Amino acid sequence: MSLQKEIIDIINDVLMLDGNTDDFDGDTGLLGSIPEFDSIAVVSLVTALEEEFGCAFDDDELNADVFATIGSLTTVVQQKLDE
Amino acid sequence: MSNPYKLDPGYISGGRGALFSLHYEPATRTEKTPCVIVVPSFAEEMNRCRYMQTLLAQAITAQGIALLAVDPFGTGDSQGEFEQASWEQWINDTVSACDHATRLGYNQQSMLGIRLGALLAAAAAEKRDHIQQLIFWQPVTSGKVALNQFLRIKIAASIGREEEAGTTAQFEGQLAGGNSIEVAGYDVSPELYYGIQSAHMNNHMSLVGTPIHWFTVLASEERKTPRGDIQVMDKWRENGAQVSHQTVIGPAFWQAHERTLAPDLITATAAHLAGDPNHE
Repeated sequence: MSLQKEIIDIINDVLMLDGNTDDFDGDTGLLGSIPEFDSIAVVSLVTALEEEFGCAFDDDELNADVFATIGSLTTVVQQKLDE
Repeated sequence: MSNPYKLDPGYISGGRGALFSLHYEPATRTEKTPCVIVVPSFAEEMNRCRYMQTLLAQAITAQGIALLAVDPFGTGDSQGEFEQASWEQWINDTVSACDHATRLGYNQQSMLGIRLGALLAAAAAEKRDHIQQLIFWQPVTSGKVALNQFLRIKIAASIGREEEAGTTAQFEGQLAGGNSIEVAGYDVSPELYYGIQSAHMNNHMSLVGTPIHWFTVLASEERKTPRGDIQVMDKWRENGAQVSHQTVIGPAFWQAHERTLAPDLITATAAHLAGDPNHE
């Protein structure tokens, strides 16, 4: 499974989107686009990603650029896995 | 259908003020009626878990088990402001809840710790050794990790706004200076912050005489129990504690934006309390 697909699955679980993520791709917007994506959801998602991939986010990575789209988030997680 | 339980709201005296108490008494009561004392989660999570608590009360009173929920000082409908709360006070309030259950005539008591409430329940069980078992719902094992996530809510809330986000280090500086910090509408005092920060399940490894039943809620079959949780359970078992672990598939009701339920967790908990081995 591609990293992007894995991240979409985690977003589906964390935001409880009930499988309505089939048409999600790299261009799908997160912050400001998905109503369920509030500040608590950001933290839940980051926690889930850290647990799943064994990586750590810094405070300054909790910003609008990282959580703009699924693509931007996937890029950041990929960089962490490559470190 | 007749009402399966009697709901008795009231106040009990805590160390620092009156505590709101909600007592669900089953329709048929004997000397042996067991009672589950709910130890709630923290801040917004406490509200988000309320409905699950109500559902559990309905399910277990129907099988002849009582439920008692007491809001710790400065939370829910109890006296005091959130900013006045401290971790030690919350442990004492949890003990007060157990003592109230004893006054109500319950000799068989279990505690259900929800999220951060699991750490409170473990601390209180060390002070009241008559507690027959601890049940955990998605327990927080490290207060420090929970606080980091809590502070991140503050950072995440400022995303896309003009205001300065701040960093965890800045918030800690504020606390070290003796000032409270406000996160998502909750004023957390340094006393409470440092109390939670030092709380960890590893501090309770000598609690081996009380069986523990640990529920992990997973969003789907693909998710796994966090490794840190498994380590805590293993360590407890090595010390001689009786720890059983059960996973349930369901949404993260404690953090859900909308009111969200995990009915399988209710069914599994009720079955566990009824001692039904088929559901374990």
